[in-house]
Amino acid sequence: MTPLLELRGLARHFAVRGGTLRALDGVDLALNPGETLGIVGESGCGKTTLAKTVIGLQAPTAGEVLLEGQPIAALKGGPLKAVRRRMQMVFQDPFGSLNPRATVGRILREPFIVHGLGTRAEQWRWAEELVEKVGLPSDSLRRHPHEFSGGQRQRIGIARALALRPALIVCDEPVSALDVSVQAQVLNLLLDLQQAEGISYLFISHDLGVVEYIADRVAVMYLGRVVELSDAHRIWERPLHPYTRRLLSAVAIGGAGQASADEVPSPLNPPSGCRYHPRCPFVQDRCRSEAPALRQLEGAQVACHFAEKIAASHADDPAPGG
Amino acid sequence: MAQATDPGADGANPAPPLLRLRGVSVTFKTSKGLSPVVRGLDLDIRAGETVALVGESGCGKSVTALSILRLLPPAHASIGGSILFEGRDLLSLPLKDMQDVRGDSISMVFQEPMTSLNPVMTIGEHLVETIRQHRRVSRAEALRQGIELLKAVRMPDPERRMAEYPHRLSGGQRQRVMIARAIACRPKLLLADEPTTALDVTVQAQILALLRQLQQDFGIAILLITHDLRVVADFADRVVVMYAGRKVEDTVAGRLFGAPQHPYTQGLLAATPRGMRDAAGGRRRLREIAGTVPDPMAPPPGCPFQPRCSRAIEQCGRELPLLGPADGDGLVACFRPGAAP
Ligand SMILES: Nc1ncnc2c1ncn2[C@@H]1O[C@H](COP(=O)(O)OP(=O)(O)OP(=O)(O)O)[C@@H](O)[C@H]1O
Ligand SMILES: Nc1ncnc2c1ncn2[C@@H]1O[C@H](COP(=O)(O)OP(=O)(O)OP(=O)(O)O)[C@@H](O)[C@H]1O
Ligand code: SF4
Ligand code: SF4
Ligand SMILES: [Mg+2]
Ligand SMILES: [Mg+2]
Repeated sequence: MTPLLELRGLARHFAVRGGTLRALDGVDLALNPGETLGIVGESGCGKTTLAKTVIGLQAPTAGEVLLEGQPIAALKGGPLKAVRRRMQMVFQDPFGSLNPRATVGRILREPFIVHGLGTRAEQWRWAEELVEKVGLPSDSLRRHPHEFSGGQRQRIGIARALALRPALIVCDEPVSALDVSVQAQVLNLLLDLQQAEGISYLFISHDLGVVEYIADRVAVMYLGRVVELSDAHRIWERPLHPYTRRLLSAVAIGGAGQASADEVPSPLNPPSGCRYHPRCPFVQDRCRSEAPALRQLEGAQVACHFAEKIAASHADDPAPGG
Repeated sequence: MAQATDPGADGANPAPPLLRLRGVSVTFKTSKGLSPVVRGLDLDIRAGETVALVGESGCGKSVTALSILRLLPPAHASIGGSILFEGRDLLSLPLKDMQDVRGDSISMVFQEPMTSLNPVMTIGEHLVETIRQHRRVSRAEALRQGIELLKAVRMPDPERRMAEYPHRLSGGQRQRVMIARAIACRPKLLLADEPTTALDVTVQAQILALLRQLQQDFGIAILLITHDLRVVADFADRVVVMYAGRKVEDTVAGRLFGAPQHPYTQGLLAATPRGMRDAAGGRRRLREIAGTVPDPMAPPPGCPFQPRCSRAIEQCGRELPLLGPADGDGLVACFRPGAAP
C-alpha cells in the first residue's frame, strides 16, 4: 500500500540570534489512508513546525513531503492546488488563525470560494451543515470570531478543515480548548468521519489520554527528532525509549520527580550524540558522541543505543502509564 | 492545598474573602438583541485558596474572569451585581484606580496567548514593561528579573528568548511568557484562564508546583479556569461548576470527583476518554452529553439543563432550581440531585 503521506528526512531550521535553531531535524514518517498517527513530545520539541511544514505553510530546510507518493515540492499551479485541497489543518491557536473581520459564514465559505465550488446559496448551505456538524448553532454564521468562547472558536477551525472533505487533516491540539464533554463530541465526530470517508489524521496533543484513545500509532518527538514510533496500545504497555518512559510516567501529576530542576534542553544548541543524553539515567560514553538512528525493535522503532538492555531491565516493571 | 482552611463554611473562617462576587451578571449587546451569558453568579475566594471554575465550552468562565478586571468592552457588555475585592466594589471604582488593581493586585493569564501579547514587542519588552509599571527598578534590574521569571517557568535559553518576538515561540512557550508576566508583580489574586492547556505533563507539573510555591510563600489566591479535570483534582481546593451562565454545583474538589451531585457534572465526568480503549486497541464510543448548550438568548423554561437531562421530571420544565445545600457538603442547583439512580 502506498502511504497517504510520507515524510523523508524532513527538517526545518530557523536563523536566530546566536545561530541556527533546529526546530525540526530529520524526520521520517509515513501515514496510511484511514490511519491516525499521534504526535507527542514536550513543549517546543517541534510539533507545530512539523505540522506547518507538512501542510506547506513553511518550506522545509531539507527533506521532502510526499502525498500519495508524489513529492509536493515538484508540483505547481493546478496540481499543487489539488494536493493542497486534500490536506487541511486545525491550528493550535484558533484566534490567530481566524480572520477577525470576517463573519463565521464568510470564513467557512472561503475554502469553496478559493476552489471555485458551488453557488453562493450552496456555499451558505454547506457552511450551515459544517457548523451543525461541530455542534454550533446555525446563527453562528452571522457572528464574528471574537463573539465566541475559546472552545467555540476551536470548533469553527475544525469545521473549516472539514469543508473540502480532505484526505488528511493535520490536527494541532484540536481538543485542548474544549471541555471533556465537547471534546467527546469532537473525538466521536473525527472517528465517525474517518469510518465514513477514510480520512487520515496527524494528531498532535499534550493530552496523553486523548492520544491513547484516538491514535493507531504514536510518534514521540524529542528536540526535533522522532525517538520512538509504535502502536498506540503497545507504547503505553511497553515504552522502549527512556524519554518515552519519562513522558508517560509524568502522567501522574504531583508525583515525585517531575518538578526536577534539570537543564531545559534547547534546539539552538542541541546536545551532541543522543540529544537526550544530559537527562538520561542510562547514559554511557557512546551516547555523548554517537547519535542513535531510529531502528526496529520488538515491532516498534526506537532511537536509543541501549534499548534492548533497558527494555530487559524493565521487563517486570508495571506499565508506567497505568 | 493541604493547609487550606475550611472553604465552605463562613462560620469556621470569619475573615472576609479576598474576592466576593454577588449576583454578577454579564449581558452582551448583539445585533439580535441582549444576550445574558452570566446570570447571578456568587463566588468567594479567600487568600491562599484555589477555586476552580469548570463547565461546558461557552458557559461563561472567561467572561466571568474578564468582568472581574473589567476588561470587557463597555460598549458591548454590561456587568451587574457586585465584585468586592478586599472590601471595595471593583465595578464602581474609578478607571484610574482600576488600572492600579490590574496587574498590581490582580493579574490574569489569558486563554489565548496571542490575543494578549503584542506581536511587535519582544518577550523582554513585555516583561520589563510589566515589572517597571509596578515597581521602581532600573531597566537593567527589570531585565535581570525578567530572565529569572523565564527560568522559573522553565523556558529554554531564557537570555536569548528575551530578544525574541511572540510569533517565534511555540504555543507552550507563549503560555509560559504569559504566566511569567502574570506572576511578575506577585499579585494577591491570579485569574488563570486555561494556564496549562498548551503544556505537556512535565512542564505542567513544574508550573503548578511553581504556583503552589507562590501560594505558600505569599498567600496568592487563584481562580483556576480549566478543562483539565486532573489538574482540578490535584490542585484546587474548591470547584465551582457552571452551566449556561449559572453556578450549578459548588463543593470541595475531592468530593466533586467522588460524588458529583448535579446531572451535568456527572455527565462531564463520564465523558473522559481514559479507560475507553481496551488492550487489543478496540475503542468504546465516548459518552457525550446529548444535545447542545442552550442559546443564551432563548433559554428553555425551568432548569437550563432540562432538555439534556435524563433525570428531568415535570417540575424541571416549569421551575428554575435554585442553589441549595447538597447532601453532606457544598451546594447544588437541581431538583433531583445526588448519585445517579
Ligand atoms: N518562526 C520561528 N522563528 C524562530 N524560531 C521558531 C519559529 N517557530 C518556531 N520556532 C522555535 O522552534 C521550536 C519548536 O517550536 P514548535 O512551535 O514547533 O514547538 P511545539 O512542539 O509545537 O511546542 P508546543 O507544544 O509548545 O506548541 C521552539 O523552540 C520555537 O521557539
Ligand atoms: N463579544 C461577545 N459578544 C457576544 N457574545 C459573546 C461575546 N464574547 C463571548 N460571548 C458569548 O458568551 C458566552 C460565554 O463565553 P466565555 O468565553 O465566557 O465561555 P467559556 O466558558 O470561557 O468557554 P471556553 O471553555 O470555550 O473558553 C459564549 O456563549 C460566547 O459565545
Ligand atoms: S542513546 Fe544513550 S542517552 Fe540516548 S536514550 Fe539511549 S541510553 Fe539514553
Ligand atoms: S433540575 Fe431537573 S432537569 Fe435540572 S438538572 Fe436537576 S433533574 Fe435535571
Ligand atoms: Mg505547538
Ligand atoms: Mg474561555
